[in-house]
Amino acid sequence: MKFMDCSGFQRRLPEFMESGGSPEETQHLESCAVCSDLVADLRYIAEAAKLLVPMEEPSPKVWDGIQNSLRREGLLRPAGGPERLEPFLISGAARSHFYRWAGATAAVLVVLALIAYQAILRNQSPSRAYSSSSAAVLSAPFDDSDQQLLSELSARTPQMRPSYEKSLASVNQYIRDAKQAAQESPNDSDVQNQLLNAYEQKAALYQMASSAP
Amino acid sequence: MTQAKKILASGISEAEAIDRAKRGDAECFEALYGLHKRRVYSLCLRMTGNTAEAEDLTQEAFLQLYRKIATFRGESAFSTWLHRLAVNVVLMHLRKKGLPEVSLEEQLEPQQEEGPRKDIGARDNVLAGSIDRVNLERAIENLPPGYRIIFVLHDIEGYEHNEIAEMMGCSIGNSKSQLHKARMKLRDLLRLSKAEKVARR
Repeated sequence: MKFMDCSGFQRRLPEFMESGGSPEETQHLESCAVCSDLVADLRYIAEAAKLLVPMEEPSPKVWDGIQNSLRREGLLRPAGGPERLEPFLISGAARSHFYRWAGATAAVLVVLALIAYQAILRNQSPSRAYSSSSAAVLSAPFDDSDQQLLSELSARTPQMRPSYEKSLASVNQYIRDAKQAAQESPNDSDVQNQLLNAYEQKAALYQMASSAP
Repeated sequence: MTQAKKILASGISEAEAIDRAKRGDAECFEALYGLHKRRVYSLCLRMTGNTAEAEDLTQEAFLQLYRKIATFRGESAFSTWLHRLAVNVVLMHLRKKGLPEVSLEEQLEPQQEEGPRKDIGARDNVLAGSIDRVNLERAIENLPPGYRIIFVLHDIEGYEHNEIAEMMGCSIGNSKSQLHKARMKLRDLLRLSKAEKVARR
């Protein structure tokens, strides 16, 4: 087996990352801390990127622009046309209860976002301003409200639970990341917006869950 | 309540909303916009790194959706189809601007700064556990455009190299090489960010 040095290994790194290594490359990786750290970092970056779910919302002017363009082209049929929406497909009582609960939770999340935002503006540690339930959000994958949401979903549409579990875990991670960044850079307006956005995303997720068929 | 939420709350499935939008139902088209705007906008923003451009391109992507939705036959998921449409809108825009991919082939030539790593022989801490979403998003924003596009398409959006090569009009090897350079550049940016954070403490 031929000896491979760092320079030789790193020249072949793109292929190594794509399709694994030859015995020489694997042997070098096992014996070289620098190259094994490099490979670990590149793999970590690729994995972290997969978790970047869409979080940005376009401004309302985008939809206004779309409508205006379609109207100009005569493509848009006025609202309230001949098509009528279908009636509720889900039992009214169950749905109504779920709406009330999920709506209230979403409202609480928005309030939490405002509290966090105010805490940052006062240059305090936001954690002091959080309630115990929000502290749970920041430390555990799912808090009590999340668990309740997932249970409700399991009862109504079990096939949607994995998707919501994944989204909730992502948004909770987003809140944790944004909170940590806000604590490190309390005067950075971008970071403050990220934190607000993180809470808004969670509120939106709850509202979507309440609308799920 | 937004139109998307009203329609979803009414129990209409996405497939039904698509069918109705094909027949020109404005409310259902708005519902589809509500469902997919975030993902399309995020894609445009990550690929361009510019909010104003991303909004213009999101608008253009949904206008094209309205014009082309009748051609959607359901061979792939609607979100996959719409996403591909949005990627093409962004790439077309970048080509008109003098796309960074113009220099893509040239960048395959080894450059001084991209030779063997300077940190050979000097072990540093690995990044694992130190990257958060905010830092990663910022580092991606700071990637050179050519690198950023490939990284977003492959590592975030999940396209394969053969798909990227087809969309970008480059070779599969080129796509792989650019992705590797993008990850290496990101590593440098994230390590720098990590070092600055440590220095501030």
